[in-house]
Amino acid sequence: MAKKAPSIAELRDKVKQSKALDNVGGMVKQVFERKEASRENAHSRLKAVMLQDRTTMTAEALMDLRNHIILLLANFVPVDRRRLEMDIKQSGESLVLTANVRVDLEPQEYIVNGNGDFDEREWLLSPKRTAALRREMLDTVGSYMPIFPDSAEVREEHFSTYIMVYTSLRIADGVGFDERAQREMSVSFRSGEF
Amino acid sequence: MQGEVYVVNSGKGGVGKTTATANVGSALSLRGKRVVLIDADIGLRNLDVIMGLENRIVYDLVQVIEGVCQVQQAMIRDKLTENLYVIPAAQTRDKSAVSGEQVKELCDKLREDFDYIFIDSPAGIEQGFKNAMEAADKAIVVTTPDVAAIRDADRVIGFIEAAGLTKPELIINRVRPGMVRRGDMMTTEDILDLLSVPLLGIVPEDEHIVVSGNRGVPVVHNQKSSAGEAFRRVAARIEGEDVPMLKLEVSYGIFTWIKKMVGFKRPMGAKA
Repeated sequence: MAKKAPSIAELRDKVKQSKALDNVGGMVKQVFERKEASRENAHSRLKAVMLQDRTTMTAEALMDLRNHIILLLANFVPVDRRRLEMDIKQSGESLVLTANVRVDLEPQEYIVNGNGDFDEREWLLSPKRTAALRREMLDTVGSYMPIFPDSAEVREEHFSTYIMVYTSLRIADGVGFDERAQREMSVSFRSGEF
Repeated sequence: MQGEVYVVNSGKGGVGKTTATANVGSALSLRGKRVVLIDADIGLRNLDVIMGLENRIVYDLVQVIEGVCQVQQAMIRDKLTENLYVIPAAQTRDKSAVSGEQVKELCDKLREDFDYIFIDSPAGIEQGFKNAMEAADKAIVVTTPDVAAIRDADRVIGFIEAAGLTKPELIINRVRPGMVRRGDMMTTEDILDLLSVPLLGIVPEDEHIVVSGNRGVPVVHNQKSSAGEAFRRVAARIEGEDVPMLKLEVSYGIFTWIKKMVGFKRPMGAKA
C-alpha cells in the first residue's frame, strides 16, 4: 500500500519542530563554542595594510621578496617556512631589513667547556657558508631595493629547544619608502600575513 | 610667558578630536594654566558647541586673520573655567580662507599670553590639517581602537613626523574594557605596536561624554565620569607629571547584571 502523503498541517509541524531544534542547537552552540577573537585578526590585517601604506613597494613585491628570502635561506639551512619574521625598521641613521627564521631541526645537546660554561657543540653555518649566505642576501634583496654594500650580517643562535638564524641588511637612503618609513619604521610581516 | 602650541588631529573623523581638545584644555585650565583653544575646522566648527559657547560667538578665526577684528575680540571666555578661551572657526567659509603661515603668526602672538594653545585640526590630510600642523610645536593624535581609525592615525603620524614636529603622542579614545577582555577590541599594546608612538592617555567609552556634549559642559567637570578622569590625567601628563594610566575594569558581578536588567546602567569604563 502506498504511503500517504503528509498533509500541509503535518508539514508545518515538522518545519516548526526542525526550527525549534535549530534554535536549541544554536543556543547550545553559542554557550559552548568559543568564537575566534577578532582582535588578533584586526591587528594582523592592520600590520599588513600599514606596511603597504608606509612603503611604495606593492604588496606583491613584498610577498615576492619574502618568498625569495625563504628560498635563499632554505639553500643553507632547513627552514621552518612558517616561522620567518621579516622586519624593516629604523636603526640609527638607516633602515634595516631583518629576516629571522627558525630552523627546522632540534638543537644539538649542549656541552660544557673547560671553564664550566655551556657551549654549542656544532654550528649549522660554517664561516665559509656564512660568507656565501651574506653575498647571496645582498644579491637577492639588492634586486628589490638599494642596499649598502657589505652591510649583510648573518648570525646563528641556539636556544634550548630551537635554533634561529638572524640576517640583516642596511637599506640605502629610503628609496622605496615614504617619509614615515624613513623616520620611524618598525613594520614586520610574519609568515601567513600576506 | 612662552606657551606651547599643540595640534590635535586624527586622520579619521568622528574619533573624538574636538572632545579631547575641549576636555584637555579645560583640565589644564582647572589646573590654573592659561589656555586657548582654536577651532581650525573651518566650515565645520563644533568646538563652540561642545564647550557650550555657541551663543557667544561674535568674531571667528578667519576674521582675526583677515584683520576684521583683534584676536582678543574673537576669543570667547569659557563660562566654567577661568583662563580658558576659545577662538571659533568660521562656519561660512572654506579651509582655503587661511594659510598655515597665518595660523602660525596668530599662535606666535598667543604664546606670549598663554601657557597652552590647542588647535583642533580638521579630519583628513588636506589643507586645513596642514595649516594646523604648520603652527604647532607638538601633536596629539586621537584614535579609537578600530581598524579604520588606526590606519588613518598612522598616515597622520607619518605626516606629522615628516613635518619635523616632535614625535606625536597618542590618545586612545572610546576603549570598551569588556570588548578588550573578550578579545574583540584591540588592546593598548596592539595599538602601540602598530603606531610606535608614546601613549598620552586611554579614555574609556563613557555615556557621560554624550550627556556633557548635550549640555555643553566638558566631561572633566564631572567627577564621577571615568572619561573625565582620563582627560584630567592626560592634562597632568602634559604638565610633566608621571601619572598612571586609568585602570579599565569591567565588573561581571550579579549586581551589575541585575542593574542592567532593570535599566540602571553605569557608564562603561573604569575604576581609577
